[in-house]
Amino acid sequence: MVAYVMRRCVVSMVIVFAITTVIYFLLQLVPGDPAQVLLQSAGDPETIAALRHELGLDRPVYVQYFSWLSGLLRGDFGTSLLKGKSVTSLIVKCLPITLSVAVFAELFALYFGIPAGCIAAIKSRSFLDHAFMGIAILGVSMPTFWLGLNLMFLFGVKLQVLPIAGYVAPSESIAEWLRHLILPGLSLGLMHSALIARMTRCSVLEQVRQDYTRTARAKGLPESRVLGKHVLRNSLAPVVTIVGMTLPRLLVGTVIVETVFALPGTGRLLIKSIMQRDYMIMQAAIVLLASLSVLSAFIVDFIYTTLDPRIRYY
Amino acid sequence: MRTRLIKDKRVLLGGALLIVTTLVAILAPVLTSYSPTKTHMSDLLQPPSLEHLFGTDSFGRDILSRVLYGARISLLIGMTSSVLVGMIGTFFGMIVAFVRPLEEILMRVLEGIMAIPAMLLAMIIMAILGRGIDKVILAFVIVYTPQVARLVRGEALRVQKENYLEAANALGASTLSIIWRHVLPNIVSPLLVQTSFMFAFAVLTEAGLSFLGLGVPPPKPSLGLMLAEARDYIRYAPWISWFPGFNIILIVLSMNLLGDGLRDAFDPYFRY
Repeated sequence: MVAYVMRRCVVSMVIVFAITTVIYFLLQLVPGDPAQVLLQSAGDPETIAALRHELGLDRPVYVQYFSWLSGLLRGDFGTSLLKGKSVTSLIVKCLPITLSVAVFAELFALYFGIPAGCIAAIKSRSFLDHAFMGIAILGVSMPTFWLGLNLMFLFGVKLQVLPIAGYVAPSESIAEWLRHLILPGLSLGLMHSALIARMTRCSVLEQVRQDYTRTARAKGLPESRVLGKHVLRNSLAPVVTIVGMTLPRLLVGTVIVETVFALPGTGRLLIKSIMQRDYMIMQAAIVLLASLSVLSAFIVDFIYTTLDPRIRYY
Repeated sequence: MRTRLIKDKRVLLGGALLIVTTLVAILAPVLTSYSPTKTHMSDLLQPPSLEHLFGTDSFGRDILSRVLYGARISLLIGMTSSVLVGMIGTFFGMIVAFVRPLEEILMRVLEGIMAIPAMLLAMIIMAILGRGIDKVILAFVIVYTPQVARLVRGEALRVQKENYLEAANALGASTLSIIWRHVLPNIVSPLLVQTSFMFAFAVLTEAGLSFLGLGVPPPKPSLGLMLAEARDYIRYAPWISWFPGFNIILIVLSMNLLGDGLRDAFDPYFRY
């Protein structure tokens, strides 16, 4: 088990390193020169050249890469060109917001998705099944930001029960923190709950047809026990897979939700940095989001092996 | 199987929705006399009325007309991207499955692309290329081709184990002839299903990128861009967001229904 975890750790680190490298060199292709961005086209060629030298941009790309990488390993993402602040401090401020939204969304997705999928499977071909699966296919067809805008209009503008924008840190008020996360979490989570509901339904239906379910019923176990103890546990493994596969999408989805609800998270920081051509922030935010996706896949893999003992730790 | 397809309500509903949305988009110049880009400063933020059925936006532009012309852009991007992804993905999938020396290196490249979350990679590519319909299509093709290539490779490897392929090999058929006559016809069904989902993904991706300000540039009537503009007026003019959103849902829903129906018809295992 320990060997398995270590091996997966090493593999994940290699993937993160590869992604980091690819992203670094890809972002070198983004048009525009950081020195020119900083001077906002006000500088003459000499001033630009001097600034390029000062920023170390006249060094070969691979030298710049290794310098950036060594900083990254020390937790130093460099300095924002436009804001003049340390990128690490900006990220440290934004990351908890992104993680809060992602965790909230995942919790919503699981809370709605698994029961809906189970009910649809148990009541297969009934009105409930068709209703839940109809809502699910509508859910996967709906853009997150459109749902967000309409939830904002309904709960924020019409009913005025929830805030429509902004963020309050849990250190200031736990209740306000939760209130500010409900709408972003719901907008992002509902689409994922639709995916989870569809997968759960398929998985439960498959398990219900298995011989062991028939045996459990034949020996007189109550239906709740058959479903709760036997069917659901075995149905969860594929659901964990789909959760693992969609987690990166959910993390990147925070970019859109943060834009809709004006949340000052990593995603919003990334979009602003792309618009303003602030390369250091762009690199840091992208590498962070990609690394979080790999990390989430690693955690899900781990849960998967715990849920299904048949999977050996090769 | 044809009967199964015709009987499937999802295929019928998805097909009907797609035909209606496509026809309405094609007939946009006939259905509305308003220009999708011309501003009318005297008609700012008008609610739906007989004159402007879907109301007007913050520049006084007719929303019905922008939604219809916006659907043209969504459908164009969806159709072109999914066809290109299907074709290029099939090409690479076949190379990986049949040209063994290239398998390792190509698979690692494809897996490398897939390791970066799709929307994030699309955003990076748009930051490099700049905004534009053609660039959205290119970004989508780069991001999603590996998924189709992997599917095609898997299906091709499955078909390679069949007896009829061994027979074709024994008869001395060339690799190209084997691919064309035996492999392609046998992988058309999963490819068709995947392509229909790719269509839906492409429409959603374009809308998402345009919403973030990285997709189709203004003043083009992209549905995602319209929703980005609607965000600022959600308090006073919520109708600006309703109709573009409904149109995106209709297009994506039609492709998802079609994809679901086709998958169940081709693979009875999933049927319920």
